[in-house]
Amino acid sequence: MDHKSNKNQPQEVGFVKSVRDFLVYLEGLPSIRINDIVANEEGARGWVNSLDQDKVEVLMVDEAQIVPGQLFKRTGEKLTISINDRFLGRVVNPLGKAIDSSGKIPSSASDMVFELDSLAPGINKREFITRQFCTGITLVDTIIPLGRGQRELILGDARSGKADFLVDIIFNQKQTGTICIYAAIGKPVAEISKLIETLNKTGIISYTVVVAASSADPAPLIFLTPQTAFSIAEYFQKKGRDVLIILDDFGIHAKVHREISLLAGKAPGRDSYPGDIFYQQSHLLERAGNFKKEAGGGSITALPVIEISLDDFTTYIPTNLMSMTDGHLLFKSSLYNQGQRPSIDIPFSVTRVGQQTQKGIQNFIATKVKQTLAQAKQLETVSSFSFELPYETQLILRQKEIIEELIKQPSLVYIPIEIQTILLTLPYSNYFKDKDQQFIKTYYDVLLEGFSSDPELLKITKAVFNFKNFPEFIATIDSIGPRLDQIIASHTISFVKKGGQ
Amino acid sequence: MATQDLLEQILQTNITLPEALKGLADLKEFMINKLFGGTAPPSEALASQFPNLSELICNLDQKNVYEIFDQTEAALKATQPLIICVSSPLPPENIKEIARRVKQDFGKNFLIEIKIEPELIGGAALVFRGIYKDYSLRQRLLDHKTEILQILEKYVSK
Repeated sequence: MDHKSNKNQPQEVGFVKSVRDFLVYLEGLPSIRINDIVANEEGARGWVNSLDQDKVEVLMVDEAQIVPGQLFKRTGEKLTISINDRFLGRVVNPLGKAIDSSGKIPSSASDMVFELDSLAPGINKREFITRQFCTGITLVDTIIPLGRGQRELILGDARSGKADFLVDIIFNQKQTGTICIYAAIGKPVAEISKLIETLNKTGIISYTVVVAASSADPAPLIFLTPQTAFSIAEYFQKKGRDVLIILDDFGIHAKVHREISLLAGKAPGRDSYPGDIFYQQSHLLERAGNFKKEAGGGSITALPVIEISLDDFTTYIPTNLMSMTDGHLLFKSSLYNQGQRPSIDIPFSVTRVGQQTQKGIQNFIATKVKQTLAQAKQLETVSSFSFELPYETQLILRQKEIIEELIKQPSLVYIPIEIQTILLTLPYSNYFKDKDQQFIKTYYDVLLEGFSSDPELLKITKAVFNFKNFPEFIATIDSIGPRLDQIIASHTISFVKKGGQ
Repeated sequence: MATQDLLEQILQTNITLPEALKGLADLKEFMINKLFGGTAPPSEALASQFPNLSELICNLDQKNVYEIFDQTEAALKATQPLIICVSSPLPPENIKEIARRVKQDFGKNFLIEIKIEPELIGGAALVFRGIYKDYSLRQRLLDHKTEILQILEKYVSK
């Protein structure tokens, strides 16, 4: 051996001691650190998950045939992702590699490198949540409002309309300039394809980044998905942008973490989940928030999703998530089947932060609506005896029906919060004293269009949040009754003229 | 007899880790047999590996034999051999000669392990305690890749 002519620097290596599916134990690698990337001779990569006294635990992110005795080299890379603005409109895997058909994402000198598993910013970098996060959906924005930087859990059983709701929220961000990040965590390939097709068809992919790991991918890759999604969200947040991040779904993330931990021989806890399951999910959600200018400004609003079984939200992971978020929206398949969209159960849904972001009148209307719904629920038992009900009782029950009709919203329709406030005030006006649910069913679109474009009504729409108190606002709504009649009459005439089309 | 002494003796009289473990296992079997009433003589291999076998027997008794051998086995398993990666299998005499040179240059207690990696083409790569140094023909070719390709290009264009 001619040592003098050898130009090589020493390189750290490890040999495979044992393999368990995607978990590989290596011997060697003397100065390796957690989150370092190692690779074998064929280029199959893994990341260092933990360090024991005599072995290194590696989680494989690439599928490969690993056998004992195989050589793994330290690549010198860490678990990081290099991000730039070109990520918008693209579908990437948790390692930041593009998996759509538009080719590689070009890198640039201005790329920012983010560690996937970074610590959340401290309290000194955060601001109070004072701005409302507008979803464009009446039920949410008025009755269960969200703030920019809030974490709101979306939970519900299968086929309860959660996916449609999330797509609607992303669609409505076209009006607000919010960047959307959708993390598909361990979803079936068909579902991910369908989602991407929907985003492309509606044109909303242009301000969205999809981070996808399907159920066919290795468990460690699925585990990394929400971390990558948050890193991308932080990139845009540090540029002063408002970001929405949807994590669909965290139940699969918990199951994958359980699978990895059990395979690694860690002691199982409740429901066989590892003891650190709460930490794994909470330290991710802590990366959301509303940030000061020194920390980049901007905000990250997080909507983690979890599918529950048969409306039972008292199990381990859902209760964990409820305690680490600022509220939850409970979706029910029974409401979905009855035609209520979004199928959110209002009494069981909570927002702990959003109300402070609402304007005075909005807040007042929200309280009034919730009171009406609660009162109506109590009075429904009385009404089933079908004797003559007092006028006030009949009014409350009718108001409840009208409200239920008003909060139903078609898919991919954006309603500004001003119009939402007006619509939900209508049941309390004199104009609606003799109107019922059928009126709303027939003239909902006419009312929407009227308050959006009619010059006389538009003045009120623009001035909604200038009203200081509810009686003043109601008086104004009452005063536009004749104009509403005119609009409805002209719609009816033109409807008849067009032959009912 | 201290564990350390036994360990050193095992390391000095063996080349590879599997050999050392087998030697230790054979010695343990003989010692236990001897101490607990057996009369079987030592095998030829054992006698040649441990010329001072009678001295070893004097230092062991029924109380400490298991403990000493278990400790020695654990220490032996924790030993990190020098891994020599070569491109093709070597004859036993060559392996012995390599081991002799390693023990001469690096210390009598060194063990070696030979791994076959055809991708090296020629030469060898060494791995010790997780540090990898590549002295193979493959690495030399990679180091001079640009020059070699230029020469080949000139040859092809002629």
